[in-house]
Amino acid sequence: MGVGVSFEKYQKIERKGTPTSVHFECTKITEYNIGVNETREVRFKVGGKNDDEKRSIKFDFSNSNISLSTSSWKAENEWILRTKITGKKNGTTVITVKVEDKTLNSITIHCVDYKDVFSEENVKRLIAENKISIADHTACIVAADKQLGKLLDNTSDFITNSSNNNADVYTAYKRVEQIKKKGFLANEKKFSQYVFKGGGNYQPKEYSEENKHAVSDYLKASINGKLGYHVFYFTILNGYHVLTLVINNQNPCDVKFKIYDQLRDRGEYVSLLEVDNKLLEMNTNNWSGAASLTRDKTASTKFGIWKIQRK
Amino acid sequence: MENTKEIVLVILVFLFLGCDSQKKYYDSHFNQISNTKDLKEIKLNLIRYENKLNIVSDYIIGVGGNDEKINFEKKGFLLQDSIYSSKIGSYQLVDNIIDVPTYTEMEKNTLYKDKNNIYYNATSRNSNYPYLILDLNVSESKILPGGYIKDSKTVYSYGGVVCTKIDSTDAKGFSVIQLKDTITNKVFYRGRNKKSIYWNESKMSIEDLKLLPIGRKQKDSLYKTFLLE
Repeated sequence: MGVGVSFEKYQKIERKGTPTSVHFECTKITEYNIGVNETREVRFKVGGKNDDEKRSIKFDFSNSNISLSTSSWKAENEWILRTKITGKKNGTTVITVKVEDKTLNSITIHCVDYKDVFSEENVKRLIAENKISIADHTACIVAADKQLGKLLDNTSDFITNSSNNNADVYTAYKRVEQIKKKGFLANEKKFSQYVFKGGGNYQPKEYSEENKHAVSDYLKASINGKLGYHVFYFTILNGYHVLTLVINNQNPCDVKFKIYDQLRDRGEYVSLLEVDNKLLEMNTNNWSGAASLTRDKTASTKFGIWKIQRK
Repeated sequence: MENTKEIVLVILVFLFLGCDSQKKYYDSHFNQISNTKDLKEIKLNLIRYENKLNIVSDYIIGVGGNDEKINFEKKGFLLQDSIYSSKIGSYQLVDNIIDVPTYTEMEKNTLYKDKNNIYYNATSRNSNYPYLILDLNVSESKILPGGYIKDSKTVYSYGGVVCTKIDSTDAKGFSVIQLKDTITNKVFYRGRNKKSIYWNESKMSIEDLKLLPIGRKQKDSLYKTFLLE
């Protein structure tokens, strides 16, 4: 009969100083996904307590569906390993993490083209179009349409510089029906005017108690853990203004968004935690403008958000 | 005294610039027309330019601030050489669609008609092609107070921030009710058919009705409509 040691002693004797694991720096990532031909930075954290000891860390891949710009490092515990990941072919890849040639843990990566997730390259096209709309003072609904066309690289179903493509771009709600029929909508959320206290007849000042996070709740549910960019078409005050909203969920520990319209560039992406307030601000500060255009000088505060997808 | 002179001068400069912007014309590609002598006024808001008939609207652009408030500025006038027809779902050349001899204004700067079509000015705030043809039969069409226009099959609401067809409503039975705001004392309208009440293009809910600033008698009468649903 052999003499055993407690697990605690085993940890101290056999595994003293070695990393406990190498995993995504963002612990919110439960399933990592990337699209084919998409490249993004990914950060891993070396677990365990830092002991000033550099060790060789190597990632071995189960197949070539993905590639990393760097897959081996000399690193200490608690260090962050930065690399760029590229999706090559749809499928699942298991990365085996080896420290000093010993297997430590595995990481699973899914290379998958989610219809409702966009790459940075896709979004860059939307941004370039947005800059043109700002310079040209394009009508908001037209600007949003053109941006979506560029995002989806589609010149037949959306307005382009040279073609109106027979789009019914007079009200957001009608236009979005066309977009839906063509298969470019993943999901949608229409908010009644009672999202705001008082609703409709008066300038909204705050969300009603149960709707304080109604916008962010919908957006988070719509992202559904998928990494990458998520793009939404949206309108405020029952179609008074039409815009696009882009969420950068490349890092679920720091989800950010930016709103695009023809009026101005809003600068850097900001935390998604601010999105409810931003939508409130837009509805509040434009209510009088919208009301001034109506016959009875009141404006409906209902609004809609629609998630865009590839066909 | 010197200050007063300066203020008057500034006002005059503003007035001059303001008037100047009123005279600027832009073609349907948003290029400013340098020689306005090339523009030939035909009738009302119709102008011929480069041998093409154009329909003209105010050219208004939005300007945004950090507080997200949109302000609108008039840049001049926008010419539109093609027009979206809601009847056929495509754009038509103004030259081919507007019948100039029968072309008249129905509602100032908003609705126009000829023997074939009704033209609505959505303004350049809402579209790069401000005018559109409504899906209405001209001879049957009727304007109702509160921003509604209808024929025997279709009702449009243009009293809200946009002009839009009201889906699935009984056009024949559609009418408006006049209401009085008990706070401001102003008269306003709501659309109605047998089973629904409309605030512009939207069907009102019981909650909407509860919030309407009208007298109890009128409110009770409107509640009865909901009981029919």
